Amino acid sequence: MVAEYRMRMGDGTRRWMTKEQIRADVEDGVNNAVDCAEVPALTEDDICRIVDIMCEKGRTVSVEPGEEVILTQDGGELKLLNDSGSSSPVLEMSRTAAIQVHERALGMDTFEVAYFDPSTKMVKPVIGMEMAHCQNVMYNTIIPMLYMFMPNIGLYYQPTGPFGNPPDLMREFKIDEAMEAGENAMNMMRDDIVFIGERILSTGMDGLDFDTTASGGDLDFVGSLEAVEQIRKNYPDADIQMGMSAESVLGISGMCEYKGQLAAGLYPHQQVKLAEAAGVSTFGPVVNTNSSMSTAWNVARAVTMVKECSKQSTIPLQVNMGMGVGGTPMFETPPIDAITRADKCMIEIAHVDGL
Amino acid sequence: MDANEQMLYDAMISCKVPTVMDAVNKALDAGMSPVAIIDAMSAGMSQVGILFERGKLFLPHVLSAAAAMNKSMETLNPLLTKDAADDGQKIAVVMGTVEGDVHDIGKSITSTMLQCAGYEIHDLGRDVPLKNFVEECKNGCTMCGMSALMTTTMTGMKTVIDMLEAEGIRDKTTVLVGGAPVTQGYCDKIGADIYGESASETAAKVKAIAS
Amino acid sequence: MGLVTHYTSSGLGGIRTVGDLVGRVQLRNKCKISESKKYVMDKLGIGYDEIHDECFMRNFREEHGLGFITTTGGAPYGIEAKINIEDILDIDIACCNHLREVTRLHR
Repeated sequence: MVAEYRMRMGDGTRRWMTKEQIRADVEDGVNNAVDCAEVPALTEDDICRIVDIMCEKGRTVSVEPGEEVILTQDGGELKLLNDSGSSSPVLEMSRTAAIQVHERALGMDTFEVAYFDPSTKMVKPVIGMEMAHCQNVMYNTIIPMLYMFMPNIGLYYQPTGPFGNPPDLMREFKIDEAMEAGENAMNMMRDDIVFIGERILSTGMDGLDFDTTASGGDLDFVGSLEAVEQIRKNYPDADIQMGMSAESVLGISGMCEYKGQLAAGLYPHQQVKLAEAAGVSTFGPVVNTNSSMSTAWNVARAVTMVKECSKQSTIPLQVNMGMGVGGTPMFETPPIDAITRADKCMIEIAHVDGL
Repeated sequence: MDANEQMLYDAMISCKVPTVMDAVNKALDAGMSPVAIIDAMSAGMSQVGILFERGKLFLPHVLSAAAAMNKSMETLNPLLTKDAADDGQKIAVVMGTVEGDVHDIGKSITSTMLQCAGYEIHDLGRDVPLKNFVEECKNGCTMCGMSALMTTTMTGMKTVIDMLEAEGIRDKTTVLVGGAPVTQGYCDKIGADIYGESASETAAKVKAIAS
Repeated sequence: MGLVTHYTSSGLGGIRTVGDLVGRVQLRNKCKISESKKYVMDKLGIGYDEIHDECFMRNFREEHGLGFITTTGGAPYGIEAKINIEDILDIDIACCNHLREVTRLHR
């Protein structure tokens, strides 16, 4: 009887697979990454290593002592307190206490503090309160604290914002209007990011974290990069982290450029170069999990893309390993066997600097 | 794919209206049937959607390809037999992001791809009251597409399905679901018909079920 | 909701060890993990095994006032610890500068 190993699917469900099936999925995941992102394939050693990690018998796996990396949590206190896009435990505690729990009980190395609705457009009206909260946090914690918010250009389109929605306008073949709306929204979003960023940094906060950058495509990405560049002028020493939202930048405009480089269609190893040029300190690449494929497939695919990103990058990488990204299953409470295997592969093979 | 089909397919991927029109005329001159021409162009359009998601083409390209397809239909429609023309009657699809959720980019792209594939789209936008989906289905939409980006809002999808049941129109409506936290398992759990990992996958599954 | 899992599998340990210090250096100097760890080792004057060791680092942090998980009366915590971290790592920390500016304290 052929030995079978416990595997997870991208939606978290359990499945039993033979070593040969796992190997086949790993190779397929690698090939898919090569095809999509046009990156080099993993070496035979890398592939064998992933298969070995997936086939380890233990419930959890870990890196060897001495190989640990920086762990951070984007979305901050929201993960304990309230709904932040996924249902939360809704624990009754203050924001500062929730942050201290992460620092003292959950082993975070750095952390990102966030407002309950952390999109740029929603944070701007409450900036005074957020500045006061940041001051409080900085006096009462030790680990580096960044202030997280999401560029989220989508909220600048109607009905929540003043400008027409480019995809909707394009569907009506109003291409010029769509382009103008997109550019106006990008400019307003960029200015708001600078407004928030500079005020937060003035409180003595260690830095900023842009989460789910490029969720609105190339306009969102370029607007965020321009904002980073502007903030850097007044705060050259600020720690600025940029985390992406998807593995490739959607071409909503298709013509939007940053420093002469077209932003649309870029994959992690290309995105990081623009982030470096803008002055970002740490970059968080994303590779999307396919919920219909196995963890072996998803991890292999993610590691292939991130390995090239790590090779190309001159700044540290903190790869996104939350729900549905980085090979982690798309499930609110991802299974620990899948998480730890994804972590180990990402650190040992893709050589990331943090998670 | 024969040479003419390949020519039409490649022309669609070029996303250039003159190139597509040229290919259509050549295909007609070569004796290809209008239905076969439309099928070859549809295959090209599907690939355009996939290339967009992979970052090889961008949204204006997608719309340009759609414009090319629309322009071709001006030439092809008069040539279709009555039966084929009736078969080409557009299926109406209501699309929207469920109530409480304001994320819509994936939904908008799926709407675009379905529109390019020849469906009549009633896009209600985002934060759509659940009853509005049902109203559109009562008023002629035979497909209902719902998107959610949050685990707290995706539960609205089940509510819409229950409402369709209560109205007695569930069996006449194909329900599509999608969005980051949605999975095939969730689709099966709530009794939806189609789940797409991506916009192009959703469009492909819709076309497969409709054909 | 998998934080503890990530920590036990691959996290440096925050203020249990040198995670916060390495994280701070990594962000400030934009350097990779190995360089960040080396910087911290050099500044603290300790070795690779020590920086990853919770037992060693608990005593080290207490001795140098760098802050740690459990509270003991009077031990530096929060911004007090960060002022000590500034000195030992030879870097500026924004909130410490801000405190000095608004209170006219000197470094």
